[in-house]
Amino acid sequence: MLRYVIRRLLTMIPILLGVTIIIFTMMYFTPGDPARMILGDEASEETVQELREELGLTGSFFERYWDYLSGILRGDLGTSYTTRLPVTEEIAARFPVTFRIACLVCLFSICVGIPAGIISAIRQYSILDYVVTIGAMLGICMPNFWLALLLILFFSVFLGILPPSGLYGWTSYIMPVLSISAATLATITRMTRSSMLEVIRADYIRTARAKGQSERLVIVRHALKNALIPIITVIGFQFANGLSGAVVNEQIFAIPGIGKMMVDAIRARNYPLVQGGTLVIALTYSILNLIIDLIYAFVDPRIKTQYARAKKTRKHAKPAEQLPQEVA
Amino acid sequence: MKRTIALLVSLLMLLAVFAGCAGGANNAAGGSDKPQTETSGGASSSGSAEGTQSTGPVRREQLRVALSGQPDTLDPYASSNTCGLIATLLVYERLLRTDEEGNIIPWLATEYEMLDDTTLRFVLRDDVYFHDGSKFTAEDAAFSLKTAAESSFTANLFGSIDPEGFEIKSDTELIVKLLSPNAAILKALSSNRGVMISKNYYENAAAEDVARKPMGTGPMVFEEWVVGDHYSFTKNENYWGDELAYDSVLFRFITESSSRCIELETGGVDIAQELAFSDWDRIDQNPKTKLIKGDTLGTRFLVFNQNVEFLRDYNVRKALAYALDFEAIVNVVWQGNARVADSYYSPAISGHKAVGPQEYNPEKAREYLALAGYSESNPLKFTYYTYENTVNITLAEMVQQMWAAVGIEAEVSVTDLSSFTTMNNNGELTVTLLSTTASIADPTAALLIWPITRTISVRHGDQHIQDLLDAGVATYDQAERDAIYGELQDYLWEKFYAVPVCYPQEGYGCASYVENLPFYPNTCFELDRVTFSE
Repeated sequence: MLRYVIRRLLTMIPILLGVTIIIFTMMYFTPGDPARMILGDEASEETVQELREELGLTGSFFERYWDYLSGILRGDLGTSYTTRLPVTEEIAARFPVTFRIACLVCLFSICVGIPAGIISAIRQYSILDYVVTIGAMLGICMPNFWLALLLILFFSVFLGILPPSGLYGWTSYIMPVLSISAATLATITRMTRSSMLEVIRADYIRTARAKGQSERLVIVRHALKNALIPIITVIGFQFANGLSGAVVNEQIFAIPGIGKMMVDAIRARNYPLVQGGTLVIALTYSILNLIIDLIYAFVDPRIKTQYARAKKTRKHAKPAEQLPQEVA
Repeated sequence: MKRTIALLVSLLMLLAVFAGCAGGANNAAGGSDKPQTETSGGASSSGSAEGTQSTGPVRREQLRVALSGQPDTLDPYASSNTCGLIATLLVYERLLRTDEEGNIIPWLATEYEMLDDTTLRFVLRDDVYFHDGSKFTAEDAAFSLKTAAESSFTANLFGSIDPEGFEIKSDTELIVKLLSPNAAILKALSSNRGVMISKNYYENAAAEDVARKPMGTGPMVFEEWVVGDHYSFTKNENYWGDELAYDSVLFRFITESSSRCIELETGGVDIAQELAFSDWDRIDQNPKTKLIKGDTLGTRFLVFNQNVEFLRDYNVRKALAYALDFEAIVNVVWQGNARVADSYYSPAISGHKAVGPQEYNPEKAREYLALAGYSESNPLKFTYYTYENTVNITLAEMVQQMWAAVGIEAEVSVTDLSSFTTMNNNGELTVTLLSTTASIADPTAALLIWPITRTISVRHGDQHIQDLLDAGVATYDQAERDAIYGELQDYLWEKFYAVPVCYPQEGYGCASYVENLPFYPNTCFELDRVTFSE
């Protein structure tokens, strides 16, 4: 297992390198002049050119990419063009906020979505099933910015019990988490439902029931465990999405997160911040993928065996000449 | 079963409709953990938008302001961002300022006089200290004015100051030489752009500190800046002037206009900057809030890039202008919150002369097109560029349709602001909407797009315009200045390099207990005069 983890960590390097090349190239060829954006229309061309040189925007593609890459290797993601703060500092100020919200969204969606999906599956075609299904469809179809505004109007303006924006105190997290969770919750619910439906019809479930196991144990210990793999995949994917930042909700709730930072940086052609932010998000996705794969092994012993078998197969592989010869 | 499901779905939809249509303001306590204000007794306010005086000093612990965005820097000479300027005006001060009637009054300078057309003399206060305890002297004043002259953000106002032309007679007496006469210099010095900075701090502190930790002589001292969320300031205990009506101020960055509006309605903030037109009525009608609105010093133009061949034809420019119904445009695009422009700068600025407004006459548009050689079989085709923004896109759609009605085929190209800015400064735009907002109520600030050296997409290359601009700024006699600018406006109308569209309004909101917050036409409100009625 350790070897597997190390191998996966090493494969992240070419992935991240590829990400830097792609994002650097895209930003390089995107029209727009960061120096002019910073100095405004009234600055003379000479002043703008001076700033371009100061920001390192006048070199060739390869010169600039090499400067950027060598900076990353030293742990320096560059300096924001607009605020002149280190990119690491800008990201560090915002990432915890986004991480916290993504965790809360995930936690909420898991706590509500999985039970709802299970109930919906075991009570298929009942009223409860229809309610959950319709709710899930609404969650997926409803634009989350619209839901955010509805929640603000209801809880802040009408009832006056929750703050409409900012993150001051635990009550400020309720509406952003609810509005961002809608789609995540719906997706987890539907995946849980469909995965459970596949599993509860299996022979071993019938066997477990026939052996006299209680329904609760049949569902939780046998059915759910076998249904978890696709659910974990969806949860991981949704969490990674959450870490990229919910741009619109961050704007509506005035949350200083990664998503809004990235959009503002792209608009201002703040190349170091865009590149640094993208790299951090790519790294996050890669690490999350690895964690999900490890969770698979924890949940499903067959997968753990596969990882181990791959190691044993390589270790104990016989050379070709020692393989049994076919008897004529 | 089906009936039950239908009932459930109907109930859900009804709930959604009620929640969505929950109108106006049932303002409640809020109940958040945000910094709370405390009040001390006082008479209640009449709540008028003009900010009537209350009957006794009422203090609050904190003034809370919702800004429309986070500035990149609080260095007053490294940005023109209004959000930053509003905050820096509490930290930094000017040599001169204006009173409520707009008259120039001494501030950090106790005396000022023009010794001749290019020489100014200031006598400074002797009791002013920066927040780090160092004394404000003539050396700091000279350094500040030199910085203002050299900064690309303020050179249009202070560029006439000779960077080497300072004579420091004593710690409190300064002579300032100008490179050329500048009739607007006193207005510029009393504006929000000519603040006094510490020479020692600027030269020795890290660039990051200068940008993120402003240090001036003002009534508020910088406290903290939480990136993306807020910055805050506390009372300067050693301030030379009168204390403010509050001990601290919190500026929150709330980009979304509806969120700012809701924060104001629910009591989360005391002042909300830049409200969307759609929120004005709600704030105005709410007894707990006030709408403060007025005409800005801004003007919107449709410019015709003289670098583009077909736009050099006067007949084409006239055709494009006559085809547009500006009344309808103002009513739809600005929702009536603007006035159709009758000249090239706001009537609130001296020397304004009504040379327009542009008449709407599609028949004349077709005649001018024919004169230019265009017809149904040979229509005028071009690309109209704009950037993402509700106003811009709505305007683009309207002008496209109006032009189509007279046989002009305009393709609308919407790009992002950065690409648009680059194209604008490269002279690649054809016809587009440009806007200016004068930082001071003077023609020199209002006519920013017209100097011959500007790289943006007018590029008229007309030396006569430059000559008139130079003459206007160099003349101190007001009647003569008015005549020169009148001539300039006639000339611009005759040449028609751009057609003025409108003078837009802007509005911001405050709680009903906030007093002494009038409308500032340059959109940068000054918070040190704010008081409270409760």
